Amino acid sequence: MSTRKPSSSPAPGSVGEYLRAQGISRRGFLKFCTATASMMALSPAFVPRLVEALEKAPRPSVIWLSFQECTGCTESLTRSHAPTVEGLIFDAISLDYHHTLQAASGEAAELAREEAMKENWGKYVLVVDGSIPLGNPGFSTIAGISNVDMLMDTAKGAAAIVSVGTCAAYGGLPQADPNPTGAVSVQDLIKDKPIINVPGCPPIPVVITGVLAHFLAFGLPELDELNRPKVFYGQNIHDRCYRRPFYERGQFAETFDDEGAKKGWCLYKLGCKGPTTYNACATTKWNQGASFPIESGHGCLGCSEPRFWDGGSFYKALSVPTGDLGQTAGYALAAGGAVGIAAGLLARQKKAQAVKDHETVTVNDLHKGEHS
Amino acid sequence: MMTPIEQIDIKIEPFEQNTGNILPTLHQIQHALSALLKSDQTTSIDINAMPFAPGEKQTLKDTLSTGEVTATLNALGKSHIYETQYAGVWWIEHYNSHEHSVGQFIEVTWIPELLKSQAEDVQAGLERLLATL
Ligand code: SF4
Repeated sequence: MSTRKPSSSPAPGSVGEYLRAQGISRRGFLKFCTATASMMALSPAFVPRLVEALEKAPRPSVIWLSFQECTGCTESLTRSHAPTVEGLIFDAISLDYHHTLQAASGEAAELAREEAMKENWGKYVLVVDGSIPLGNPGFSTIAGISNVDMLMDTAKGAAAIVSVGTCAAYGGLPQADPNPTGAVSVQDLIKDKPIINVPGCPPIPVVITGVLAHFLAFGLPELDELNRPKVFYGQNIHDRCYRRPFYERGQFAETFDDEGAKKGWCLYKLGCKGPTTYNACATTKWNQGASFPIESGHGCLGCSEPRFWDGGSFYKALSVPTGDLGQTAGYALAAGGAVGIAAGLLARQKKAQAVKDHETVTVNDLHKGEHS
Repeated sequence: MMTPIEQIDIKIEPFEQNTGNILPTLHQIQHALSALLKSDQTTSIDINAMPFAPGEKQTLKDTLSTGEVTATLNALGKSHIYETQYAGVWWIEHYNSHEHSVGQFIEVTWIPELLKSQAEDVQAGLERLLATL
């Protein structure tokens, strides 16, 4: 019979210590890690590694800035059923500034942001939702500070930036043709920091918490060419869609109430953008895993892809964006000049260094560790 | 007051075409059982990571059916754990404190880790007991 010893105490100030201080039993912690691994789209085989990592991971300071947005992204997250397993991840971070959620306002709130920045310089995570208007700085301000100034100022000391929602990641709805405010995305403005895009309109709540959990436990996740974490955005909706057999057989619903629609046939002809959309909806699903748009009989809108608002009608079979990209590209260019950031070699080097400092862990690396 | 989603009476109609993912899952379970017997190797399958058509998950559940052991865990919300009709194949469903499902797994193991007492909790319990003596 093997003997079992208690593991050593979690590191002071770590996520593990925080959870233990909340009176969560080891069993509860294991359950938390199992659900979190599933949320992070990791195989259950990684649970022991996650347990170990969270015992040691320091609670990061998080500053959350909301710009031109509808609060849907914050809603999506706060509705992810706190205070529960998923809510605990949110609790486990030290959310030092979030002007929608915090009680403080005006100067007191800005002071909290400045203090959190000073105390955690170079280490805090900056989360942004909403796009940044460049047409006129007065279009969107917080405590009299324009969005662009606040972003550039707060980004300076950040270890990494998480752009939550399609607006922060790519410009989203505010940037849709004719882009009246001159909206740009975070990555249009910041070129020298690691940026993780978590697009979606809104993003799936567990994907937001999953990304935070990944950052907590293993550092920066591996990203695709659009800076999205591959664990969540590595797969195509179409490839994981349960209606795929109908697509293969050429059985399509032609209207929303025909026989094909009733039989659950493929929604391609009704405008489904599943084949060009990368997101976790087909497996993670929405509303506690109840369903996702295609399961409810509506095609995918492609909301995690850049410029999905300008892709023609949502109800037209797949089409490409038709809007005038010239004006938005101009804003992005002007932004670069105005704030003195060129997408040059220096910025890229700084970014590479920052990425190195926050070692990226891929699923393959985890596999290696698993067998070592 | 909005009706919580789990109180909406949703009837899932049997789907004409399934994804074909049930059979490979059963094969995976069969290989996992052999590995458990041969080399003590345990396997965990994340059900939510697999695309299933409406109703298919239930079909899988029905196929595995229930066995001799059923347990309820109370830690950060409930978890229902039961052995299926195939000994060594466990169905585990975790809920949060609002009774929303937060994960569903099939574990092929002698006994799920979560059912065992954890050394850290035993230690804490021992200290508590000592303090009362
Ligand atoms: S419904 Fe959409 S995602 Fe699903 S198979 Fe048809 S085109 Fe692909």
